[in-house]
Amino acid sequence: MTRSRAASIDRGETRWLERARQGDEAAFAELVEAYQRPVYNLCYRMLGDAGEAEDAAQESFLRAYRGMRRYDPKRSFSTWLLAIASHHCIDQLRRRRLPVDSLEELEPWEEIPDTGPGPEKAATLREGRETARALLARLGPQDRAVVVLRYWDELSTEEIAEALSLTVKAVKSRLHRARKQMAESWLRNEPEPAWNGGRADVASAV
Amino acid sequence: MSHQPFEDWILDDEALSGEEQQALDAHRAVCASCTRLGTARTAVDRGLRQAGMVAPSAGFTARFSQRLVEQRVRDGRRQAWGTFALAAAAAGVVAIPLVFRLGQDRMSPGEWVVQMLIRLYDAWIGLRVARGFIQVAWNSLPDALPPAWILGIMAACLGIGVVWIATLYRFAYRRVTEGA
Repeated sequence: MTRSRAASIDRGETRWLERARQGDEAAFAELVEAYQRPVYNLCYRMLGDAGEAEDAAQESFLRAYRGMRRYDPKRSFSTWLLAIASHHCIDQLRRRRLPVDSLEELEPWEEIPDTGPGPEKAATLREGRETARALLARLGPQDRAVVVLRYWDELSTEEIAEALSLTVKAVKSRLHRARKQMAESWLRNEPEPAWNGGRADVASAV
Repeated sequence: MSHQPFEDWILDDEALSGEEQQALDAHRAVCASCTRLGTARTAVDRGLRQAGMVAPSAGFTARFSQRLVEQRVRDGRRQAWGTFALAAAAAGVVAIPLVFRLGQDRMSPGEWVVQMLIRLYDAWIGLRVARGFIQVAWNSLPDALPPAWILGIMAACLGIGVVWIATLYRFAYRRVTEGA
């Protein structure tokens, strides 16, 4: 589910939500099945490790299950769920307190088996994952969450603000800062184009 | 050369008007820095979007159900320990002074049992006296104390009762699904 807006208004899901709010485990399991991918992806992008992502995603669903009675059905379930996962991952990252100083210090990219796409598509995916991981690794926990919610979950600025308990202005500012950091990071790792004759520092453009 | 507002236009999501787009294009034609920033922004966007969604390994939901069961067992144990600790604390509050008092005199087990029975009898008599005192106080309080004081005392008693019930609820009766 890239962004299952359709799913959130799906009748089946509404039924699962109602039943899950009354403590029905089977109904909640249906929600886990439907949302495992975006939640796991968010955790994976945030934490950068498959094992930690699995644990964080499981814990996020557990917290959601425990908090189902507090869930307001007027709100989007996916946004609420992603908010829980984001906060959990931000906490995890803050506990780590291990800043990555350079791209060279990053651990080797953990390969995830590609099921389905052919060799070319798989190579593109792998390249994309490498790039994404390297770019995200430079960001602080909250900036990273903003970027993941924007690029993978395609949440609007307002939805990100709601999910991360930030103001809309703060989300825009964080997104701006994150993009600038990622652009700088990308420029540092790209060969300088011949026409420029040397490396221009993006920061100097401010 | 000033790079504002061009840098903001490159990095933000707001749609540009025709005039703004023209101004940005004109600036980029002469500014290598902003051109590189624009190229980098596009590359970053492409890189992130190319990454696609990562799915968990098969059996995620089954693992979640298993984890839920394990968590429930852990919560049950914690709940049982909480109840035990509360009961032990209450028993300790009652028993420790009694045991301490009895332990001060060296006695044989028989004498100890007799002393314990005497103390229990004393406690029963004490409760009867206390009940009588409360009855007298209850009947005479309206005359002795202003209504605000009586209301205050009743509210304090009610508050203590609510705290006690909430504590019991928190540790002994709350369902696992309502969270820790």
